Amino acid sequence: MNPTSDDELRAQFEALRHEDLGRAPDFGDVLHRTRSPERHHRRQLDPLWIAAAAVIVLAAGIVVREGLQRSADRAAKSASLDEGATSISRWRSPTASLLRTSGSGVLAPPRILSSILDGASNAAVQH
Amino acid sequence: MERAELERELEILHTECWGWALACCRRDSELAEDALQSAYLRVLSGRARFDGRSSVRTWVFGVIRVTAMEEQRHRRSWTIRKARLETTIHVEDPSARADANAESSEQSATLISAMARLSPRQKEVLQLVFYHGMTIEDAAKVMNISIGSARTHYERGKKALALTLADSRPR
Repeated sequence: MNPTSDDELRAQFEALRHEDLGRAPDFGDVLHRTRSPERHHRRQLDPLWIAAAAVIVLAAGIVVREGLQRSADRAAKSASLDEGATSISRWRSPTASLLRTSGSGVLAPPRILSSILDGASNAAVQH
Repeated sequence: MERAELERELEILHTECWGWALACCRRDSELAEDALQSAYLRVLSGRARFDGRSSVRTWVFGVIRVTAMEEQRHRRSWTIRKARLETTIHVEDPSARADANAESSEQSATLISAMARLSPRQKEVLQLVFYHGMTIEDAAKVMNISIGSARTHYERGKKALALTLADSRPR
């Protein structure tokens, strides 16, 4: 079967065009026509979108609140640690007053040179 | 261009625009009227601007094409939402409605059904060239594609359409 030629195609399109343009609505009617219900409704927001937006806002609020709470807890914890360190450095044992020598006396090195000289001077006095 | 001047131009082009809107809306006349009104309002309100790079007709056809696509998308989502709200799912077949609206002659009906088998781009380029008498270059501008691409769609579409029409001829 021979395919349709360009001229035949053109003729068929021309016939269709003639029919369509004969049924064309008036320009003014198109420009000022009342909108169809679909177009009215399409502007309304979908309840699903509203719900999704609400969930996102709620989740963001929770995340922000958690973050603030966590930083407040961290600040309180570091303040209590500082207080503990100060109290340890000031702490004294309840039996500290019973010790004869102070801690610095016990830890000091023995005086070796002065004790030898003391012994030699005592022998010369006896002779 | 002033609003009054644009309105005059649209009025002159109106019947041509109607034919193009009808083709862009799968021959659904109600949807075509909606799309045409939206496109006109877009042009007249200045939301679509004419930059003088093509003829006014080519530019207006481009605006109608984009607006018709948006209208169809909105219509589809609205139909789905409506069906969901009514619990009974009934999605209207646009082709059936288009058939009812068409009331065209047998020859035109054959051409319409043969066109329906082509790809959207092939349909568009053939409509612009054969129905509106545009050059392939102008059709490419309306469709926002390169001339080479438009030419390919034209050649393939024309071949497929010619074969389909030849097959549908009474033997």
